[in-house]
Amino acid sequence: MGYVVGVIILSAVQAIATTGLALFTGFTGQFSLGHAAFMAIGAYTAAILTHFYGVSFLLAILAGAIFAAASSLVIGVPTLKAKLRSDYFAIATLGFGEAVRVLLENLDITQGARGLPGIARLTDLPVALVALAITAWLARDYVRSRYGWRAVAVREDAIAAEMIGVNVFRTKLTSLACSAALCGVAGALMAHYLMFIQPAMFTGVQSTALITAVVAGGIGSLTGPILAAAVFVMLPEFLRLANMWRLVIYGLMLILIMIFRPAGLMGYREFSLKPVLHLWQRFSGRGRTSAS
Amino acid sequence: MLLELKQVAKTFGGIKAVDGFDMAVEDHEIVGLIGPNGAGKTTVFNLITSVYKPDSGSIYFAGEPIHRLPPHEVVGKGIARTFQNIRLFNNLSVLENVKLALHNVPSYGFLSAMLGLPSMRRQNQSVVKKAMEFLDLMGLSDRAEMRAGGLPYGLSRRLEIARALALSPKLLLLDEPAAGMNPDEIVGLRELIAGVHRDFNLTIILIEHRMDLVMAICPRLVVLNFGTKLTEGTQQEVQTNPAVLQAYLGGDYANVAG
Repeated sequence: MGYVVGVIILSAVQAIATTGLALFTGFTGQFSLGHAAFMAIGAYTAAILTHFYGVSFLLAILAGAIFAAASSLVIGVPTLKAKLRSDYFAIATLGFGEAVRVLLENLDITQGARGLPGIARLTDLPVALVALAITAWLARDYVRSRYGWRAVAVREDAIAAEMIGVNVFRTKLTSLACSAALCGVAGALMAHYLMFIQPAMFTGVQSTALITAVVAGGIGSLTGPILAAAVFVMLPEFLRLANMWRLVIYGLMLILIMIFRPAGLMGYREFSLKPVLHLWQRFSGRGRTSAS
Repeated sequence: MLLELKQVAKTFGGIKAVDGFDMAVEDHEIVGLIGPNGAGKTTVFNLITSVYKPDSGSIYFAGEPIHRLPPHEVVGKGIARTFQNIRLFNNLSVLENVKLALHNVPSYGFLSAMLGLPSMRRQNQSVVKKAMEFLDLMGLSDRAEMRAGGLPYGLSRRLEIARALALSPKLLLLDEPAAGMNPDEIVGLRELIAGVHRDFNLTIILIEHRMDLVMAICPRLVVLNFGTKLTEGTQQEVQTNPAVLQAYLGGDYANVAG
């Protein structure tokens, strides 16, 4: 039971970080290969605050989010101001991710590559699920607000966006800071569930897992990436029965998604129960007519 | 004087796309900007909207210098444009294309947006209503939910104009709006441009190769060739100017005429 709960908590944490990246990649159209760094910054900030300074969990999470958002400006301002094209920008974020990891490995307060053990376990199932719900709610509001409209305009056509008066630089930077803040929250939650963090947890592999979930879940969708993130955490766990084949199945699944749903599972759409209800009503309606 | 370009120059590599270009546009005028292909007409639009910064010279809008402002601020001053190769938000619906252009209309801040306060929902709804009014005006309201990329050519031109009008500009720059249209569609476009010019109290600069459209709505013309102003004046003056005839019809024409 503890194992299943653990998988669900880690799925929720991953879903929060993925939602963050979905704002930046799925709604603003910018690719990042370094968002694990923001999880790391959130995780270390929160863990250090609760562990060494006895700060309350909620405040520590908020501090992790704010610190992650602030650090996103360090990479965001110079690269976005220079208008780096998408692939160059992705490489810059890759470098940023590595730089943060190396920094964490060499700072005293983070205890270097050995990692930070003995963090209090403060994240349980309700905390993780409530955090995910709040994240989804905030992200939805962001997307529906005029800030989200501007982001979508930039994603669709940056020049046309400028010509409807959108400040492209500021819009990208706002999206980046919001996405970094959510990744910071995810990192803080993760640290207080695993009770141990080390820089090696936040490598390019984790960044890739985030971007994979966003793209497979669907560009321009929130529910798609959330579902994909949860599936990608759970699937390898359940596939442990298949042992060495599980990574093959995982890879095959990604290839099939890209072939049959190139815009992602839920590209430009949101998951809704309406079609399901509609289908059910039709079937039950047909059942009644045939009965009468 | 609404818009004034003074000795504006822009080079790309070794090519002088626009050189020592002067142009003045009065309030509520419709000016035609014509010239052979590659004369630098679109570059002039890109300079006015600050997509390109001029190498030298200055641009004034309503008395204010605008050539150092970033593009979104130039748009904010009241200049809107359409593109020669249509630039719609293709993956979004027709309605969303206009809605996005109204992003500066709501007054809610970031915090009330994130909290999803009722004021945000109310203001968003009124923006959608306003967007529908622009679609109505352009005869696009029955296609509001359609993907913009799936619109037929003539209608996507109209949607681009609707999106530009949603910015409530003082000056509208139209870059070859009639390109690819058949004669019937051009008649519709002519009435549309004349209509919005009147109803929105607009000043319009029109780049166009279709002379039937230009002659029908532009009392005054500016002729560009190789980045410099060949001449400007009334239709009559331009049509009889030998330099214009030579630019359009080639050097031999001058010999034939002479």
